[in-house]
Amino acid sequence: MTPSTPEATPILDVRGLTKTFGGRRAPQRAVDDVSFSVGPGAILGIVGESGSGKSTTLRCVVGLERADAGEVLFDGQPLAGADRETRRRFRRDVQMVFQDPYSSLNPRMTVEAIVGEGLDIHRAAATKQARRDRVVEVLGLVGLEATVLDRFPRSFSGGQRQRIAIARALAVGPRVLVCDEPVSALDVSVQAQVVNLLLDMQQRLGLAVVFVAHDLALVRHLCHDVMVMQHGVVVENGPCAGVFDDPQHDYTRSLLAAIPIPEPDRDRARRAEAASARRSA
Amino acid sequence: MSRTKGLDIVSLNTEVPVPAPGERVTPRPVLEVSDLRVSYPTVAGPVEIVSGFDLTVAKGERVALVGESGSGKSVTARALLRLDHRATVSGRILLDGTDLLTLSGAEMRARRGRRIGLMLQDPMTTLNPVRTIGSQVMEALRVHGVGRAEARRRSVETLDMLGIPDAARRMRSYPHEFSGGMRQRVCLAMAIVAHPDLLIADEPTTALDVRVQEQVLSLIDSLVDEIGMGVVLITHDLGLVAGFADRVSVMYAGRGVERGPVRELYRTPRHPYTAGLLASVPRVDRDGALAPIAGSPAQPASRPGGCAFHPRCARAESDCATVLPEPRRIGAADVACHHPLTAAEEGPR
Ligand SMILES: Nc1ncnc2c1ncn2[C@@H]1O[C@H](COP(=O)(O)OP(=O)(O)OP(=O)(O)O)[C@@H](O)[C@H]1O
Ligand SMILES: Nc1ncnc2c1ncn2[C@@H]1O[C@H](COP(=O)(O)OP(=O)(O)OP(=O)(O)O)[C@@H](O)[C@H]1O
Ligand SMILES: [Mg+2]
Ligand SMILES: [Mg+2]
Repeated sequence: MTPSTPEATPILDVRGLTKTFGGRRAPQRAVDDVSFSVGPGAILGIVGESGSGKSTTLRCVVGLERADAGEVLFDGQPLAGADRETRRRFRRDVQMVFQDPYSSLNPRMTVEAIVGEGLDIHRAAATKQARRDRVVEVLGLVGLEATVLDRFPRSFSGGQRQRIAIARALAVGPRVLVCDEPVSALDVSVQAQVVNLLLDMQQRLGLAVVFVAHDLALVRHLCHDVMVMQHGVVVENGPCAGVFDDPQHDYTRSLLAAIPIPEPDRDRARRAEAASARRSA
Repeated sequence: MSRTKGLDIVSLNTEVPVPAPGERVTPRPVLEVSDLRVSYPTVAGPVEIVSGFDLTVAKGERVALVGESGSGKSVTARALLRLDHRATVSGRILLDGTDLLTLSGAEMRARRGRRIGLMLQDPMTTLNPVRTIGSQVMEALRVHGVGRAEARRRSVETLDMLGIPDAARRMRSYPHEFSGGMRQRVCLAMAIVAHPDLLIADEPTTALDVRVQEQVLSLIDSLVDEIGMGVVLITHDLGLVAGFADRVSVMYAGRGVERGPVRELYRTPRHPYTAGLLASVPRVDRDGALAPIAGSPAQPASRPGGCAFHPRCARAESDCATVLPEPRRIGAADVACHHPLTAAEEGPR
């Protein structure tokens, strides 16, 4: 499956987002004037340096962090000052998968309670049975069996927890999925399943996805557009093919050059070259 | 990345004898694990997650432990250090000849950190949210009697070499003020700052961009080269393994299915599972769909009889479903398969 072209009107339109941490004495600008938009059925990849502000950007967009400046438009309407109904719709339609699958799952809740929680909040399941059916359905989508319902997060592997987190976000049927490294702990077979699931939902339901990832091969495979961040700033963005084949910024180039080659001799040669370049720099 | 400096080995570690340059010492095993079995209690009774696993790591050797999600990699790592009191562990775990399974709790604690550095997959269970980053990295040295100033100096140096910008100032930060990848590097710093004989790192670079990942691997490399640290790198990323590891051990459903030197394993994988894993590595330099292994990984609680991989294997015959294959030597590799690929059939590429 290849991603199909998105439509024009954005669901999410982010403008001039800026966030500084650390108070007046040692201010640290984590996000600096970041703008992007995603329309229905679009998949945007965000890549970049560890610590460059990717998670902070997403947290500001979904309202978990208060931006110092900038605005978020939802279906063309500014969220700031929006009525309660719009904000309720936003919280339901825009779901986030967090970076850390360990601390984002409540250790005292069963899998069924974790995945079903959103259905309760948004009154999306009429009966207890309907709720359970939906939970089993979304768990199935990410390759987990109904036998996991009563288990607690502690007894799952890293990749299994990540899938529980994805199932939780999908349960309420969002229009936008904001994912912070949703597949980093997954091996290729499970990754392919999740990626194909996202592509399928994108094509059938017009799901829009904002996707932070470090796996550049995956970004190239999955996303239409990509945005490259370093030190809180977007250094390069545009259609994936262009950015990958003809990178304009030095940082993007150095990032592409650091992708491991899955062949022992070629990768050793590549690493040795990179190391000597670092020493002479 | 000009901040990468050479390692200041002499002042950092005065106790470990460094072999003379050029001298080729016969590597002796730092770690020898045999017939490791780990079970956990579940509502349906105990489940054996790791089921007879062997692993050897020589001094100065980098061994990668790979396998799909749920294959038992993290359970193995935790069992080696006996971290989980709910787990029942049996077999032999020799660290420099001493069986860790016979040690008391206090003797075990004395070895953690100093002799073995462990980095868990999950940073937030390692890090204490209400203590500063600096105090936590320093503690890994302080518990072994290193003075405060020295511990601080080494901690800043390690964080700096792992690419934490402005490391001296950020020692005062709390874990929630760090990004995901920065927290991951702090956990690695805690595992290596005391220069252990053996590093066990569970998915140490999943939250890192490839450039920082390279910097992190270089630091591990220099510890391997300069103090002869042995490394067990747990990962599902076979792209990363190719240029880093000396040997690879492949795990499926709690058992070792193939292990051997990295070049042979990538050139001529013998176990169909290994070949499948290699064929599925996504590549940025090649187009085309992801090519995962068909089917889903076997679950320990419902592990198929015989070779656990047989329901997903194109080469399976009737014996695969009934007889558990014993590992045997083929070329330089140990392979547990009734019908291994031959060199002529080649692997994925
Ligand atoms: N609550 C906070 N207080 C202070 N600083 C913070 C806080 N949250 C994040 N930061 C800082 O903001 C910067 C950006 O962090 P962020 O988590 O957005 O990075 P990231 O791009 O997601 O990195 P990674 O890929 O490692 O997850 C980092 O320097 C981080 O230390
Ligand atoms: N405390 C526990 N109780 C019961 N089962 C457990 C427990 N911990 C892990 N398991 C099960 O053991 C199996 C192996 O888990 P482990 O965490 O070792 O996988 P892994 O190879 O590290 O996978 P990943 O790549 O996803 O991290 C999984 O099926 C998991 O559900
Ligand atoms: Mg992040
Ligand atoms: Mg694991």
